[in-house]
Amino acid sequence: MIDWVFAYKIFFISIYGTFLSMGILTFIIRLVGIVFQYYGHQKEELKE
Amino acid sequence: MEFELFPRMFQEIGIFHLTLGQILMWFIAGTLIYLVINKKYEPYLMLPIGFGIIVVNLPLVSLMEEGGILRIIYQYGIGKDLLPLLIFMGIGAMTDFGPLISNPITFIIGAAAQIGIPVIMLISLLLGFDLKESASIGIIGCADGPIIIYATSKLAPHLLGVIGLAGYSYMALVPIIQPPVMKLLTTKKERKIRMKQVRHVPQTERILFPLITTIIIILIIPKAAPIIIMLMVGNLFREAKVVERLHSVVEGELLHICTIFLGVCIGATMNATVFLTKETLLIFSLGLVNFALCSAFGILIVKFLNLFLNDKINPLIGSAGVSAVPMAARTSHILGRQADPDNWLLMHAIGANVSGVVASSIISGIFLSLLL
Repeated sequence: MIDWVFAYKIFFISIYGTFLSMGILTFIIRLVGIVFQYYGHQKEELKE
Repeated sequence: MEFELFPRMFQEIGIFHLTLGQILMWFIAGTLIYLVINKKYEPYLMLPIGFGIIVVNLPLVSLMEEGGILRIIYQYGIGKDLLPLLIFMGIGAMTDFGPLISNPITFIIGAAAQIGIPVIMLISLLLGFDLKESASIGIIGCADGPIIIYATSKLAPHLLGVIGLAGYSYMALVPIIQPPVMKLLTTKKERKIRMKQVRHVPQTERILFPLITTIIIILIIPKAAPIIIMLMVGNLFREAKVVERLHSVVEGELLHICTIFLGVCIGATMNATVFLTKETLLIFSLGLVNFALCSAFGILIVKFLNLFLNDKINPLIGSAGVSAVPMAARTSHILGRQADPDNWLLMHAIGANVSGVVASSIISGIFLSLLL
């Protein structure tokens, strides 16, 4: 007997969990990128 | 006395125990080996798989029975996850996450390209598979060999051979499966979209990436830890640039040795009685739909994101969100150049491609957390 309620829970949790984790990674990696780009510009300005 | 030995000797002659199913499996293995050699059909894995199929379908061969050499390698290598995880470390050592780091929005494409997995899980349930089998069939869509093997060996080990073969076959067929889906879901104008050049990513940022990703993913989904740790430690060896020898061993010899054993063992799980069933046909059909569906979701999310973004993304890179590195990225690039010969999508598509690797580790971790 298939537990459809459990199956639907897995369906939604797997999509939600994947997007949540990837969303957090997008945000943090973007943030780190912005910091590095800013730091890179500062270094270039100092060189000039 | 000597005469009594004759009937016994006849019993030990393999040819008298040969079944039609075994001959059919030789034919399947032979076709596979032919395709591998002539069409370069995922050769590194398919060739050992093909040989494993032949070996296990020889009569009176006890290589996969208790104490047999392939059984021992299978038990420790696949049963205890060693081989897929070591291969994943090699993949990490080979992967350049630079395009993903420079354009992190591609993380979302990787996530969307996994939606087909739970969808196929539900369809498989409807077709009569149990929940764990359905989840394993769904995972074919992630198009990532070691993850397919890792998850299936835990969820439905009896289907490992079929699911592994389906996964690797469709990965080899990405350039045939994806283009019709891509053309169907995009307009010519969309296929011509040019994207901003990928920025240079400094080494410190590249080193931080595996560390940050490992911590975040394990904090959210601890069951994904083995996969993500191996992927990222391999990548750290690559990016640190101070352990060249470790890096070259992990992406070279270690990866190749593990691939040989993994391939032969997967092939050896496919004896005629297990493989020649209607479930095999169903799994192969579901796998095909799964690949097309995952590619479609990747493209559709890009079209959705483009509604809000100033710098538009070419939807062709959406289909590269399924892992299948670098075949899926190359397919996106080729289709982009067909629409506009001066459009270079490869690096952007590689970004989506490697984000698919991370996303597929996450979704398989979620499945394992909920089903084990």
